[in-house]
Amino acid sequence: MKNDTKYDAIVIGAGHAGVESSLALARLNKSVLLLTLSLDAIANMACNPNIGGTAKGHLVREIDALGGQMGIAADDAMLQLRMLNLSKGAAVHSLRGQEDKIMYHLNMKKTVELEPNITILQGEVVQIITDENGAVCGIITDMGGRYYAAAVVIACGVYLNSEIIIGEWRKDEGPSGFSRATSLTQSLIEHGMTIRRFKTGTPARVDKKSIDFSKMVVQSGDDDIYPFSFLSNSNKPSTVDCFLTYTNEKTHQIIRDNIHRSPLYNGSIKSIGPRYCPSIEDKVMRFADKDRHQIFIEPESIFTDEMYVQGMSSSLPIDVQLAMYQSIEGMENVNIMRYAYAIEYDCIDSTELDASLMVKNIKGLFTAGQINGSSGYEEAGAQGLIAGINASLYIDKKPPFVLTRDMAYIGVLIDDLVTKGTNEPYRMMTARAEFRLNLRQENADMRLTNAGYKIGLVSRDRYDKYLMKAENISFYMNDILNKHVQIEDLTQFLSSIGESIPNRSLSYKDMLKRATISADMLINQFPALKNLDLRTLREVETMIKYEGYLAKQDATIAELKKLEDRLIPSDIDYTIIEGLRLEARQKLSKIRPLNLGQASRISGVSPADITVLMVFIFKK
Amino acid sequence: MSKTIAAIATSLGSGAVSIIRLSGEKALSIASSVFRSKKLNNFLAAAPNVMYLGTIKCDGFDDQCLAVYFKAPHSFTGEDVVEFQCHGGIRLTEEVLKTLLVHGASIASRGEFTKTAFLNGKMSLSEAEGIVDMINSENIASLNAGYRMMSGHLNGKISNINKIILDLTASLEASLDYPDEMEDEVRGNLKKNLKLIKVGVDKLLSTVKLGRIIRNGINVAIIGEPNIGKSSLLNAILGKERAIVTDIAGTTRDTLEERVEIDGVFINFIDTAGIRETTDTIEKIGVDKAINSAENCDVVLMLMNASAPISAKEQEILADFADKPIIKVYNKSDIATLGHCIDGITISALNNTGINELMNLIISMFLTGKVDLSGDVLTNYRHIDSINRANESIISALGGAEISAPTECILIDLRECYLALGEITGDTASEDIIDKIFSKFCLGK
Repeated sequence: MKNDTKYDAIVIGAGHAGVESSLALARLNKSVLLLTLSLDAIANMACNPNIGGTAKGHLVREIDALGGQMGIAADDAMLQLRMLNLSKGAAVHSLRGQEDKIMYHLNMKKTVELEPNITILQGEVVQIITDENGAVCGIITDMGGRYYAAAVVIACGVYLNSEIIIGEWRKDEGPSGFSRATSLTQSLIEHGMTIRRFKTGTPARVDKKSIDFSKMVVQSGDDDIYPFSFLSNSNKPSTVDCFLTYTNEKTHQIIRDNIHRSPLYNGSIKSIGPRYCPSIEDKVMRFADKDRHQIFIEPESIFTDEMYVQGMSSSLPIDVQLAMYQSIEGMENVNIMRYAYAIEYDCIDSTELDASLMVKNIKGLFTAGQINGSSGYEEAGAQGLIAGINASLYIDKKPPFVLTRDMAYIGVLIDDLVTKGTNEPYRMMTARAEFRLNLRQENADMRLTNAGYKIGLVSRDRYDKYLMKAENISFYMNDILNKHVQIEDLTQFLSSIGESIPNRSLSYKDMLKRATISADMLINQFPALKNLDLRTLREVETMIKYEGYLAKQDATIAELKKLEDRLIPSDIDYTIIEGLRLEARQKLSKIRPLNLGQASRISGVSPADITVLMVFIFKK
Repeated sequence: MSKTIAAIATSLGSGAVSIIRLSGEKALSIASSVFRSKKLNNFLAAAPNVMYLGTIKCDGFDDQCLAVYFKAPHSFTGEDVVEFQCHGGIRLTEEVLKTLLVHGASIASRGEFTKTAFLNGKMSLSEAEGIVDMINSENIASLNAGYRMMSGHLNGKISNINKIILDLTASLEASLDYPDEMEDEVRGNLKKNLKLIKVGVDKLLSTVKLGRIIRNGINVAIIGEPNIGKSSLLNAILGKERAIVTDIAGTTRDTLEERVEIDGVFINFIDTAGIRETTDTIEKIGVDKAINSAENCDVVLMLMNASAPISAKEQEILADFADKPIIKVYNKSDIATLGHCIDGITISALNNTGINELMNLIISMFLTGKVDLSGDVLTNYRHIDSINRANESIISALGGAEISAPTECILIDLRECYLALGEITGDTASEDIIDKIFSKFCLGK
């Protein structure tokens, strides 16, 4: 008889981190209990109706390459697709999809429901239970249910003791009107974890029918763009538009006149909000010289007239909100359906985690997503996937799966969180990835699919596509593109595009080195290339154009690798190492880095400290 | 490919022979471009563990030396290693090292050979412990007041350059991460800003005077007309009879250098021949040397007579050194002090009065930055190497801007430049940049 209360793993929360975690565990043949406060909140997009954007689009491609779900789900619910940064180099091209929130939620809900290894249950977890060795062994729900598992992933988002704040009004509630979790924080404190309080916010949702779009600039999607998932073979046409408008002096005046009523400014919100997601009152007060700010109007779903007002997040009282929204061109008569709000919530200190996202002091307990102090669906999904994989490896008593900074944005994200920690909700940015040139969204499969296949998450179908692409890249790079072009064809082509004509013949590769010559031009011009796969050829073009800079990065990576390869014994006692400065001892004792590379990135640990540490390890 | 490092392996300045060690993948090729041996057409063909006699070509001179190649992994560091044994002496050894750096080696940081050896599993326990000792002694050295003062001065100069880099980087990064919000005007000012950074790095480079201040101290030349008491002043400072003092004008024929240490800073006082028109050939050489010392020193002490008006010759000398930090010192206050002495410092070398005041004034000139130490603070090769690498990066960034390379590529060079300079000041890239982005621009939705 099946024991209903015992599973391999329990995942707390079914948001973007929780669904990836539970799907990864289930697909790795683990029985999973997935708990959520509300079945209607599975994969809920509580804020903007987008997936992707700069650096975030990269994360989605990486999740997809490893066999995660977010890319597929985003493609299925996509209303509009744009490629940002097309005028810049390929490494920073970033996909952003407008998503149908309702469709996204329903698709994701169906996906977890269809997964035979997942049992879904609505309920609030109030306690984490550990065994006599301090390892996690299960959870207790508010209704008194006890469920046991060797691994638990907490992916509870912003629901811990959350409070909604609009002006002077406060309510103990989770996002989007869902109820909050009131007991889990206490349980974490009892297990010795540090709790911090972060803040974020979201703009109002307004009624489409009350907007005059003729006064706004239409923002259409791009055509001819490959969607998120590497499994998709075709482009998906954009079906809806977004709209651009601006705040104006009147809007700013309303904000300035009422700033004393803003909880952010009168001191009633003390928690730390993200700098990259400022409220409109923040923008107006901090950047007083700007006479207007961009506002994007975006559809939430084809099933509703609710529109998302990107750029107008606020915690001002409702009368001020209405006045400022109505001061904007095209929104003179706007009806607010949901007011903008700020939300405060509990989260943990991510430096208490190891690189596998397991709590260092509680074996078997993993955390992922906003509870770790990150923000964003994509950041959550990426952590959820890795926590799920590592929970599975932990159950199987295998070494954890850790992506390094040179391998993936996911590696940068997790390394930043567990090594440096964060003092505000952490958002992924391309500026954080020092090996950005290698970490292109277009080569996420080349970087990660093989690893995903070894783990067991990547399907045969996906793996075969990857192998085929790898083979093509090598063939194009080392064979076809090295062929020289007939001198008369070359001359004719180069002169037709106004390029200088050399006195020797050129290979296709030589031509691609020039900034003005693209893969698309060559494939259209030269019959010998006609049958090549354009998408792959573009990827090879990037490698050729970046060649010198990639070599520079590789040299830096090689230096880093030497340090990364030096593992630090897990039982090391930093307090007895002579020559380490006090600050370094404290930081190292707290973070407990896995290797010298990670140790070198801890703030407050100097190169000299690393040398001392290295010698100490060597002597042991 | 990892970098190739070089350093002087023997203690500096002592011994008849110095060893300069080169380690890394490019060791052999760097050696082959500077070292010629009759036995070999090219050092690339050198047999391992064989000593070759030949010449090493440095900037302006050749030196005979021995070179030996140790092939990886059978070397101290486990990498390809070439060692040069050349004639001892600070100047020469430093020149050889500089030559290797010019040909593509990076200066090894303290303990880096040992570290490399460790990373390649080639290090013994005693050597490992040596590293810790070295770090500990470096920490002690950094507690020295003089060292702190001077490195603080350099840090200030570099911080100014890094501020420009940070501003530019933040703008470029913001344009990549926030394409919807940032206008593309950032690229418009790119070249102008890069050139600004280049000017700053050039300034650091052009004033590099190897290791002079910390190793050799601040040079203070004592000049003046004959028999004004320059040698007496030097003796008063030293508190001993170092210079020969007579009342015969022109007694000091050669320059004489003596070092004192005050607050951890070495000050070299250079006593010079009195400056006057002379037909005596030997004295003439002395006078020329005096003028030369004054031109090349950090501070000029212009010694004059407190009891007499300023002479025409003295006016002339003062005018000649108008652009140097100069202290007017009026000696012989034991005789009389005239009113014009108010613009300088009054002493009596004979009675030993005013000397402490003079010393304090020299030190305070450095502390308050009246004497420009920007170049002279570049005392160690590690700093020089950092600035050289910063220079390479900024040149590469400018090159990239010239051919309209993508922003994310130019940022690689800019980040390198920032990091290289940050090795001296302790600036680190990632959080600095992110902080700057959000303090500078209104971004995010």
